[in-house]
Amino acid sequence: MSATAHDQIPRNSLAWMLAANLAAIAPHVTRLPIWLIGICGVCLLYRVMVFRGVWSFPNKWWCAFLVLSGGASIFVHYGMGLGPEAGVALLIMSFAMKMLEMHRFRDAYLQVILAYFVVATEFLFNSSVYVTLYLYGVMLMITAALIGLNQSSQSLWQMLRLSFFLSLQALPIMLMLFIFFPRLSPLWALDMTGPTQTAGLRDSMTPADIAQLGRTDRRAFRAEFSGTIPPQEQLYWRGLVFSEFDGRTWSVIQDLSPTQRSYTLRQLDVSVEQPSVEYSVMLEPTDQTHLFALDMPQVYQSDIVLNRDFTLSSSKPIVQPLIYQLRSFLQYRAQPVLTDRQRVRELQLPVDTNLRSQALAQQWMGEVGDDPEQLTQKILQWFHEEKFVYTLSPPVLKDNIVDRFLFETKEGYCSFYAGALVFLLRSAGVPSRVVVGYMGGEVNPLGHYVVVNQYDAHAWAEVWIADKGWIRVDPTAAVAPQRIRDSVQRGLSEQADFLKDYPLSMARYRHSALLRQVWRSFDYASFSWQRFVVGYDGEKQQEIFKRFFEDANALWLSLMVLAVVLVILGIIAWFILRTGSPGRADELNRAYQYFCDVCAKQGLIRKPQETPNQFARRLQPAMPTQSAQIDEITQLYVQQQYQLPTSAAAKHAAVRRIREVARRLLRDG
Amino acid sequence: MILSATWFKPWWERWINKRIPPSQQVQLSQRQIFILPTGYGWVSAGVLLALFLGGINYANSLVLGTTFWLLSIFLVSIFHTYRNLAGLTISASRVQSCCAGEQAGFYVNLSRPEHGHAHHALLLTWGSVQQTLQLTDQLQTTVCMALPTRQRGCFQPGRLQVASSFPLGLFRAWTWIDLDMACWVYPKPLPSPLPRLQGAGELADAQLLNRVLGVDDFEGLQNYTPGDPLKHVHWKVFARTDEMFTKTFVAAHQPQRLLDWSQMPSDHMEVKLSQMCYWVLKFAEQQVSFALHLPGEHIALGCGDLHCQRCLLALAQS
Repeated sequence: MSATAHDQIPRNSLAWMLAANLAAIAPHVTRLPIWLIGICGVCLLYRVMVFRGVWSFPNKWWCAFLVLSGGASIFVHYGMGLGPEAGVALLIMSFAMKMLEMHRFRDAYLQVILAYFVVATEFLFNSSVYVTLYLYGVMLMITAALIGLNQSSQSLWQMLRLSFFLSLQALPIMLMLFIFFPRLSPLWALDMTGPTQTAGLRDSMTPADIAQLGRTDRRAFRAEFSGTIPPQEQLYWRGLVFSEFDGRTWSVIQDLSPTQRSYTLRQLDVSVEQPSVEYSVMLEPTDQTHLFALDMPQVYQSDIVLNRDFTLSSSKPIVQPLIYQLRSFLQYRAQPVLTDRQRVRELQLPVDTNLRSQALAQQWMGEVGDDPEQLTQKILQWFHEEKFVYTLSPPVLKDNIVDRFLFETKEGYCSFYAGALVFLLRSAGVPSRVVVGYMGGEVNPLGHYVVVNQYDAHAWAEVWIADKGWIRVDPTAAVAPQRIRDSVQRGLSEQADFLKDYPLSMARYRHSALLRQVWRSFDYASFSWQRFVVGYDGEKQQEIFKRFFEDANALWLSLMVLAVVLVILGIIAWFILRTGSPGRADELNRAYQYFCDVCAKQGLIRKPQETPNQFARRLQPAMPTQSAQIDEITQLYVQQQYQLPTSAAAKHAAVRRIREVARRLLRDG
Repeated sequence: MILSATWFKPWWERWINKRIPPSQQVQLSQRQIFILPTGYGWVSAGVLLALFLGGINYANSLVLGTTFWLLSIFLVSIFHTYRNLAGLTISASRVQSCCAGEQAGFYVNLSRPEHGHAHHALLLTWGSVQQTLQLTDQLQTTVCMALPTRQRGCFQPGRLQVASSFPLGLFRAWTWIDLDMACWVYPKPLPSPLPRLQGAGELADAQLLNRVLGVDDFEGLQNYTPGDPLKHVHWKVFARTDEMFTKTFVAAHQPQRLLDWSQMPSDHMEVKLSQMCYWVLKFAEQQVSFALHLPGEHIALGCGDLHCQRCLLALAQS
């Protein structure tokens, strides 16, 4: 490292560096604690003032104090276990503070290399196509700063231009490596805590929870179907099953919560019928283990477990986008026989609450002659005929919530109706339970997939009928049929509360056909990105390898990848170095040489010492008929080569003319 | 380290002399250009490795993609670094001699072909002297490297290093060329009393006592001998007496000096030469004619730049 000759940081490089640093930190800001953002801001501002010559560098005691107190604050804020979030916070803090003592060339270099690192860590938290484009733009700026460090005569734009060309030339190699470089499995186990503010369904719900989700405009998952997409009213994405009710909260029964044991549909006494649908789900991070599927799912993957309540769960919390393949049978008969234990579980109630509802249910049960199906119909009928209102902002209920909802407020969201229905059925001795998940979703015809958003969150009921098994009953259909038929947007978009916190959400403006089209295109781009780039893993790689090379082993593949990369490098080298090769004549000389070659075919070879005019004079008697052409070529060449410089266009025209006339000479022989 | 360096040198020098033989003009191509990662290059490789491990462990496609892109950029930059030197022509221009202890000027000419590309951030290192320059707007430039000298005699500065780590600084391309340049270093001037002042150095030499024929001052007449310029014939006397006389002239009077090796006031050879050098420069400054006698070489009386150079050269070489 000889930094003796140029120990100063070129100013124009510093300009790029400060801009790139700001841009590299920007996307991290939402995740950082506020005091750290403050520190970054102060450091950057201070460095800009130093750059402008207003302030001078802080002394080293100040720097030492800052570094120590900053490091301590990180540990206090995140605790001792350094997860990726704390690691990135520490990285960004040191990155910002390094700016304060960036005096010399070496400091600047480290700063630039760190900046690449800061950019890359953003991908741990965000993998959208737009963020990627932005970050690659930042990388161009960082590379421009790096170029700036190694010279000082170029302008800011020249550096950016060179940076752009470097990146462009690197692109083919990068693509080859991305596609073919063996994707190794993780070398050591990592605790990825992941993003903290994920929206989504939890293991338990009070009725208001799902209404809250209904106001959230965030994607839950996409599902890409390989065949036809089932109609909206069949798209019930089962997520969790709530069998336990404490009078206020519905929750998953603990001994039914995910075990590591996976069942098959046969083991769970589920008989299925064709047709089935095949699809793959691209799930956004939830921080939870439950997955979503249409009833009844068949599992292929070893890391996905089918639970006893027909829900799916993953072995680890979903902290990064996950893709899984499923096949679902839409026609089924699930558990026609219940064990006593199951029966008790699905009938459990807090007996001393909501007495009015219990009494009503028992009275109706008597009226329909102990027929659970008729009782269900009767309740739905009641929901439909009474003045029940389907709303996103129901009044808050404190105690006896079923009674107060059914007989007083009569306003609620899907979870209210599902909870009330199950409560009534259980009171009458009919086993039933609440199922939550998502309902419907928006079909994007561009990519043959369904986008399911958080506001598609839904709750419905499952009723057990002897010999028929578990049957899905959706009380919301009785209250607000359009919610089921047309998806939540149509059902709710008239309500003022729908997405009221998201004034810019595309979902609010979907009545415009043009905007819908635009939104679909954007979503399709984003979908393809998730599917083909972010989701590209070892398995996909194996698929590609298998498709192209039938019986390839690892060694052979690695050698081939190496060979291909070397060939690409060779091609790029040729492009870059071509203009640098010393002996290459310019186009004018090559055109004249072509003319000489034509003459050489006639046996008239130009001697090295002959000037073009002398050569022409010697040619004239030998080729008397073409004397005019020979003259023209010679004149053009002498004019362009030895006389006053002309424009590039004129030169190019002359070159073309020389070649044209020489070709005619060759033809005429 | 030092031991191995001295042991290493002959082998290394033999190799490089064969690969890049001394030449007054070199156009750089793959034969002359070497390229290796810099310290920063190794640091960057470490960062790439860390990113790669992160991408693998978090199974994050985009982190891996970024790693691969950076790696590709770094690889491509090798060619750019190489290209930045390739095509550059370096030639010896001229040298400026000096006295020992001063800096000798070695002028080196850098040029590129008319349609060649620009060359950025070139670092020329010659011994302990470094200079940066670029060849971007102009086709050629001449750079003067002022190399310190220590002792009189022939000064060969060795190989000139032309290096560049443009554009990313991760790789450094360099060449190590011998432009076959050398210059004479004169003895270091050492003030001393001039022996002539004691009388011993007075021009007693018979040859020097002869008049120096010149054109400035009329001195007298002498008999015409064929070959005398006709302009100098005293025609008036000829008209009167029919005898041809030629007018003679002498040059304007100048003090005439002799610097004699044997008479310099010192016993040590180098000191004597240094003293003589001092007087040569002094006389040249005063535009005084002088002669120089060295063992084995006598330079006759003369003055002017050429004479001065000749004397200094003789002092450097003896």
